[in-house]
Amino acid sequence: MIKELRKHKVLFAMMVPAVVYFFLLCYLPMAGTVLAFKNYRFDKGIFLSPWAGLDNFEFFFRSGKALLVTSNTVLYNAAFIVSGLLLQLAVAIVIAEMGGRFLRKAAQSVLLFPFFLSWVVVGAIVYNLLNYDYGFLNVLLRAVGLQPIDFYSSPGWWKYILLFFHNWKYVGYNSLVYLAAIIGIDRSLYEAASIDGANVFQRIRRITLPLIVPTTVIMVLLSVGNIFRGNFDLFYQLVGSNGLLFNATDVIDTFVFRSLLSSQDIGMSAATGLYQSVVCFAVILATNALVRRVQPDYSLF
Amino acid sequence: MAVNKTGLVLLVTILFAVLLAGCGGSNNENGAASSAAASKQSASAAVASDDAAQGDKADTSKPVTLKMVLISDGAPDAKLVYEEVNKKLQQDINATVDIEFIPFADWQKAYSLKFASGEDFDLIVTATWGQFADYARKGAFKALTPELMKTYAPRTLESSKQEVLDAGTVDGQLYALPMNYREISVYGYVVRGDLMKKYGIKAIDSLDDYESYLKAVAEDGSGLVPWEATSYDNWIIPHMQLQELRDRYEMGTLGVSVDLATNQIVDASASDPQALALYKRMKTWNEKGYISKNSLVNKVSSKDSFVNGKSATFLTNLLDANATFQTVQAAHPDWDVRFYPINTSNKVVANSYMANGMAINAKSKNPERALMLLDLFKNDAWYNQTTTYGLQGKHWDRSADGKLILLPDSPNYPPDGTCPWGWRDERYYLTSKDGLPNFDEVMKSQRDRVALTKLNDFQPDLDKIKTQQAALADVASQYQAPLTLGFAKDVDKAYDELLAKRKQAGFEKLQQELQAQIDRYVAAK
Repeated sequence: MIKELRKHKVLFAMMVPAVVYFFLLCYLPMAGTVLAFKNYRFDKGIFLSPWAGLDNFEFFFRSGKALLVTSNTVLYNAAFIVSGLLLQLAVAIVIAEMGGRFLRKAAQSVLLFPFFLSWVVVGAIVYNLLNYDYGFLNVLLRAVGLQPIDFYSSPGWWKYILLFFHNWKYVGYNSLVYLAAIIGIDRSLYEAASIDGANVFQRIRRITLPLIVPTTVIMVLLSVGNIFRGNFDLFYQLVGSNGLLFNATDVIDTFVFRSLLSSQDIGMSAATGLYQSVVCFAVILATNALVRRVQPDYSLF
Repeated sequence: MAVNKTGLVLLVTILFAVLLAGCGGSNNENGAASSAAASKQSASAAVASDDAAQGDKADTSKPVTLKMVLISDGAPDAKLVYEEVNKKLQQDINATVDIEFIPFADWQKAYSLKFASGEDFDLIVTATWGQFADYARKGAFKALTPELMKTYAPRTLESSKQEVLDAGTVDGQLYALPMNYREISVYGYVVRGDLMKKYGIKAIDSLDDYESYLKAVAEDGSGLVPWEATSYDNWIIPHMQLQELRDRYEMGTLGVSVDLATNQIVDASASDPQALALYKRMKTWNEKGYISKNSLVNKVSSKDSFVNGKSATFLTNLLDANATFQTVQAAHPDWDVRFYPINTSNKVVANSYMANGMAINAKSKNPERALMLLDLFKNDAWYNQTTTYGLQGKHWDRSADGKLILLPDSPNYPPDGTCPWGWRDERYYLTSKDGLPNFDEVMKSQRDRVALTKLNDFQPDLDKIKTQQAALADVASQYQAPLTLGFAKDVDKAYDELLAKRKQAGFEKLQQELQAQIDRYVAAK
């Protein structure tokens, strides 16, 4: 152990700030989880408030919507993960293979730009695109003599709308990780392949893809770990308080926000948060175990 | 693996950061809150022991800065006005006050965070519509003991009737000073006289008249949206038609209504033909375009849309209608804005005095000075009117017959616009000189029909029914809102679903528990 420390002392020194940061901001506050079992009082604070047993969990499971919102959350996230993965890989590979430096930078910037827009802004953009009276899409439909579509009262469309805007916003940014992995690949492999007469598709298929599998697996594992957490901003800003769409668009986070907005019971929201964390933890353990069985090198731990 | 080593190290660093950031999340707020709370507690204990030593003389030797949290979108001249207020406060109680405005959008969230995060502030607005009793029971507010009141708010004790103080009392403890003003919410239609003349509509005395107005606007083809029906005003029609006009009292934000004659809670999970008929009517309004198709998603309020000339009507209360009248009168005198009250013959239930009030944060370091400030705001004409109307001579003035005249600068500090509601007082509240022509008449007609109910000051204890309350809040937003705006395609089916969902959410349990509380309360009174 000491020998190890001495040998890699620079690396360990680099780790210290991160360890301190996460200990202070992630591990210490975990004690706050007790809130889920407390009847929170403002004057007594977290630890002195009276115990509430499992009362705080009752609301979520009794609501009759626990199953719906949980499955919505998981399905949306699964769709985000799968579609995101394919698009991000494709974007990274295309950008890496692109010839001109200027073109490459331009494409990357254009794709990256939506990431810096806040969801509030995206929500406004979507509203101006889709609303019935003067939304851009409906104006277009009317202009070509088609029936306008009332998106905001047709739940069926929202699966695709949400999926589209989620990817639109994140593809550019998340593909950076894959791009970094591709750039890290030894160029001599490609040169050797070219000399052997491999075309661009063969090079991608035989060199690029196999070598970024570890990165891909790690990225997927990380997103699977959050599969029970809905992206609140996305769902809240795009759907808002439009009850007509809730069955198709409600995720755990928006449901809890709406139910507790007026009563503001901190214990009850903490309870749902704990539920999400526990399930996420179980899922990540299971997926990791699965990955380890298939290929031990690729697992996270 | 033939992977470049620097690339790998870089990659691993990024991944590690991402992985750990995932476990960060929202938890960090809590930790900060608890430690802050602990330090506050010891501070307030110290202050408390100081009090005891001083006896009942107010000590203002140390200058303090108080922080007051209000719910409002603010006003351009708010800083200017409070600078003047502070000059006088410094002389009177050796204190100054900093105002923080919580914007209206999602105010509930910001409001509860103020307490949960252990933030340092002294005064905050509270009201029945802001879960006053709930916050009081959870220990958010400082209990205003008789000793505190006698020492630091003697003028309030003198000027407030017992029923006013009773309204701020929860479980026998005074937690807030309610406004000294018997408020009546008079809801009605705000319409444009020029359009009425154009369409030959004489008056709007019923929902049918209102429908003809909307119809005329929709069929005019002028591009004017008849009614936006966003946010604030779309609950008024069902509230009036189904509750007030049927002599029922709707309790706070619980979505529970009580029959005024019997004090019995109406079973909201039983079918109600009148409600069904109203929802069907709303559906035709929606189909024919009387209600904007965007009303569930539009973030521009109906009022703003009306004032900007985009839509032809909105619904609101008399005071807001009056303010709108004055704004519009300056820019578009030709519109001839009119207000028609909805309830013209039934009983009118006055609001609780706690419809607005002010409370002191339980963790305030200077509760005594905060109470002294409230005593001044509530009982001193200058403070009261300056905070309500702005600077006399700049924003407003008083006419010879004691009415409010708005001066050209008034839009920079609109009357009642910066949340001075908590210290509103009958003695200082002015009716406006150039407001709605029928303002006094409407007000008188309503005041003549005021019915007092014991339930006004009933403070429901929600602890046992918070599960049901949360579930019902969700049902209301998912199933009720689309019905009241006519978005449901099959009204009968949607209404049955609403009833079934209410049942499932535990309405019965909520009803039983609240009814028991009401019975006890009414019997004790």
